[in-house]
Amino acid sequence: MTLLHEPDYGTPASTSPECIDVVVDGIPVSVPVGTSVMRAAADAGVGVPKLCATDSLQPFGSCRLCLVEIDGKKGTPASCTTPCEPGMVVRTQTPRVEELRRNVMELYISDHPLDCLTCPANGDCELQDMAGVVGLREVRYGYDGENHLDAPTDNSNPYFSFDESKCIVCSRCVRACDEIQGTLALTIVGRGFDSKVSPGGRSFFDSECVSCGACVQACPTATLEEKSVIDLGMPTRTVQTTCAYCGVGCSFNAELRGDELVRMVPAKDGGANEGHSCVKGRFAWGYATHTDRVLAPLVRESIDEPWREASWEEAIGFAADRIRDIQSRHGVDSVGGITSSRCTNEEVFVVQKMVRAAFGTNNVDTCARVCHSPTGYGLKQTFGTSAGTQDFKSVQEADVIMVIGANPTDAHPVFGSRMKRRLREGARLIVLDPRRIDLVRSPHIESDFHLQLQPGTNVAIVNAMGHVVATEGLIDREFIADRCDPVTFAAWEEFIRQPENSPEAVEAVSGVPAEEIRGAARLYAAGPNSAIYYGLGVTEHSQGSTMVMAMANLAMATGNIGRDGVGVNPLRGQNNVQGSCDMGSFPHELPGYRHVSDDAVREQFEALWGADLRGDPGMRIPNMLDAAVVGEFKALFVQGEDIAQSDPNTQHVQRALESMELVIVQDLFLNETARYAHVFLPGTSFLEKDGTFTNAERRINRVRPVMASKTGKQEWEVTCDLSAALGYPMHYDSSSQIMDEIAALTPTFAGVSFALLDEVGSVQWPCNAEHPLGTPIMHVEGFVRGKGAFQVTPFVPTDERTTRRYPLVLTTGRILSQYNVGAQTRRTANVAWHDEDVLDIHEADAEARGIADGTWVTIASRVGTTVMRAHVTDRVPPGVVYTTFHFPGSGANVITTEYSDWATNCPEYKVTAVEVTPTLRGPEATALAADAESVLA
Amino acid sequence: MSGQIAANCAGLTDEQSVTRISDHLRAFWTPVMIAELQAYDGEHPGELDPRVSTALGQLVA
Repeated sequence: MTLLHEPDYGTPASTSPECIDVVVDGIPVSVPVGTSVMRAAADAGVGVPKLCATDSLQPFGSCRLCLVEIDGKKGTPASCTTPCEPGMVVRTQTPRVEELRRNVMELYISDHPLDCLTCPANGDCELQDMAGVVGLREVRYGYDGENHLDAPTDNSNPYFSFDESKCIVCSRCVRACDEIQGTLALTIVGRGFDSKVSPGGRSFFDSECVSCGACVQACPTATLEEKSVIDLGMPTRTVQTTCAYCGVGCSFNAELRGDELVRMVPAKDGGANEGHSCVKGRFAWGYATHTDRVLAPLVRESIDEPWREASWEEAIGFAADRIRDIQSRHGVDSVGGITSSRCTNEEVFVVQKMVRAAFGTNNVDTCARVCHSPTGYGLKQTFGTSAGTQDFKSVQEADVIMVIGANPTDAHPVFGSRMKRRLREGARLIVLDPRRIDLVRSPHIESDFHLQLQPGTNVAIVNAMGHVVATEGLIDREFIADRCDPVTFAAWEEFIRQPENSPEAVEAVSGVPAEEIRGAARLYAAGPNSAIYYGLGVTEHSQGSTMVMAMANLAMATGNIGRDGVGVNPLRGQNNVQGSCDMGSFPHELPGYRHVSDDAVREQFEALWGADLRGDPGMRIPNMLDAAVVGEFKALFVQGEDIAQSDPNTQHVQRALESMELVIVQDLFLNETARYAHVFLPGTSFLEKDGTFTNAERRINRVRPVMASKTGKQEWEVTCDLSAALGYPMHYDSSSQIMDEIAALTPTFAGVSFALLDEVGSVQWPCNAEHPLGTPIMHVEGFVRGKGAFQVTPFVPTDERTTRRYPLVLTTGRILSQYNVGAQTRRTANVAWHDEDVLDIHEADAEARGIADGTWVTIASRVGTTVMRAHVTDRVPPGVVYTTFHFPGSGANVITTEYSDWATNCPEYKVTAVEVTPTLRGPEATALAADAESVLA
Repeated sequence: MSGQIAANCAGLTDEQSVTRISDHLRAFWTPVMIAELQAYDGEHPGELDPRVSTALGQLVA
């Protein structure tokens, strides 16, 4: 349920291009073939009473409230399950159906608590509404007979309750779990009077439920209700905004009472999510008002001193004076900044502008350095622009889906659900992943090929697929001739045909049987619509950029670019990775991915900004850290990132931060990086921000301030204050004006404005005169660069090798309930599902080391050591171990190394040689220590 | 790092590799980093991949 009553047509829209005419209550209406009578009535402006129907679910016909009469038809059919026929004449209000509806409603109410005035759904209950609509005035059956009024309430889920006594068994929750989320955690158990909704006979918390909230959203009563609504009461106002978790960028209606957020409800008209959500966006927003938040600026002379609260003026002045002093002593390039993919486009834009124009250096980088920088490089080299090719809806047209190094059901759950829907409809699936992710085998889904490759051999596998395509006559020659550069294609074809790229040659290095590679390649090439979706399992390798280009080669070779259902699609990790890259956060590029050395472009910026800009690339994050360690880099502005936890080789990062004379951290919390900071500038949560995020499909969404900034300032205002203190004032009255400047300077954003976004909801760039409402699918007529450029992609193995001392390969990833370094999700009830990082290890490796499930283990690499619990599982193959990096206590990046992508320096998080040994720590160690002490005493 | 860049030019002729390496360094490396590598190359002749050395020479020119 939702405060904002969006139109509900009762059944999904038909996509048929053919229309038929019907008459509903005397009103003629034309509807697409396949439209239900209920939806036709809604189109005619006639509301038919309903309980089990909603337009996000297939019609079910169980509640019997939507009965109608149809001329020439016997009986009173359910309007939700009856399709319109040409010339049909429908009557929705007749004495007969009215009486039937009252009788049906009477039965429902005879077994429903009559506590409407104290019910948490009071005023937001379809059962209550429908009782009024059908004119129910009495219940003749009394309440003394057998009923469900004493049925128990399941409060096991941290975020919502399941009050069985209020359930009308309409199955909307069960169907939402099936059709929308695709988890199939809910079912109806029992028969007749005993039938009831059940999460598989267990509590919600112990069930397969992933807490996406689809069931809560679908429930027409108070049966499934947000605990926040139960605790706080019904919200009174709504603000539409955008989620600040992953790169899917879901639209939500934030529902509040005054300034207090009561719940986040996924927006039906959200371009990315279309009414769906995941546990993080739907429920895990409590961090925004967590008591750990720091709301006032802090300063200290050195990192050995305690923090001291300061005024904004003092903190800004302190920072500015130190920056200028450092630059006077160590040179203009001794300072730099890092922008955040968690911040808005506008906030990122002003930080990179401040670094370039006020600091006077191009030493600006972004956290995309450590995730998707190879995407930027690889797709620009091949297609001409640094972005995914499709919109999310495109997956509905895919015949073959290839998921490479991504785990959409955990890391991009709302898109994962969309993908699973297409797979349940019959699309074929290829998974390239060392781990057996959920998609490999889940309810009604099984991959055709799971290429369980050795970590670090992506390029070898995709090259081998290209080899099969080239040598088995599967190249789309027509597409190549029309759309691609013949010279680069010829070079690629010659390269890819070489025997060392054959599946048989690659089998030994990758561990994947040649026939499986051949089968996958044939399936991908056969399509006819084949789509690649990939994640950090592609980019976070020493060959990350090569792999992106290899995938682009494969897509071009088979003609899988430039239409619905195909493409090469990066699944971005954070909410605004795409946007932070678009906004010129890389040290070699101005906004819009234009190189700093381009005089014409630079002059355009210089004219508008009134500043001289440098034409030479600045330092990347690892360059800055390396330079700091040797004393050449002295000051860093860090916007909304926690490099001391998220970046590889933590010890090196810490040494670098310790070596600096000034670290400025702008964040919600005193994170790990803040331990090394001298100035802390409190940031704003997404609920306070005013700006835009750009998601993985290039969709620019408004982020609206749901509540006033708890720090008293927007983050872009703080940046402007610092810039002004440095002698370079930036004049904006609102974030809208920043977007206007972005549009003026960035061709792909030329048509973007807050006014447009408020009018149409969202647009996907390029949005300009040629595409005034944006571009859902790129490269339709031609590539951005003109002709698609194939790239020769040799497989160069990583230098990180297993040895006798470090015989296992560690790879890292993310889990559904937690997010990135956990700064947000660790401060929510999501810790109920995952309160520590654990190490997945195959039982063969565990047994050989004497490791039991749940016991503590030490993980050692050549750079560091950490401790966490072991989780013995067959999800990882022998020789491979896996963990997440959500908790600073376990510090997974203590053990990841300095190796990085050859083109972009993206760290090789996915391949670290380690050894795992049993250890004592935690409760066992504590108990032993206590025993020892008692013996000594 | 420069060795990695050179290794990923496998499949190209030496001439193409040198062009790609020099383009890459010019596009993504700071002048200081290039100068440091040039100095290293001068102090440790023959240690870097020959294509990198040639590319560095072109950047000087």
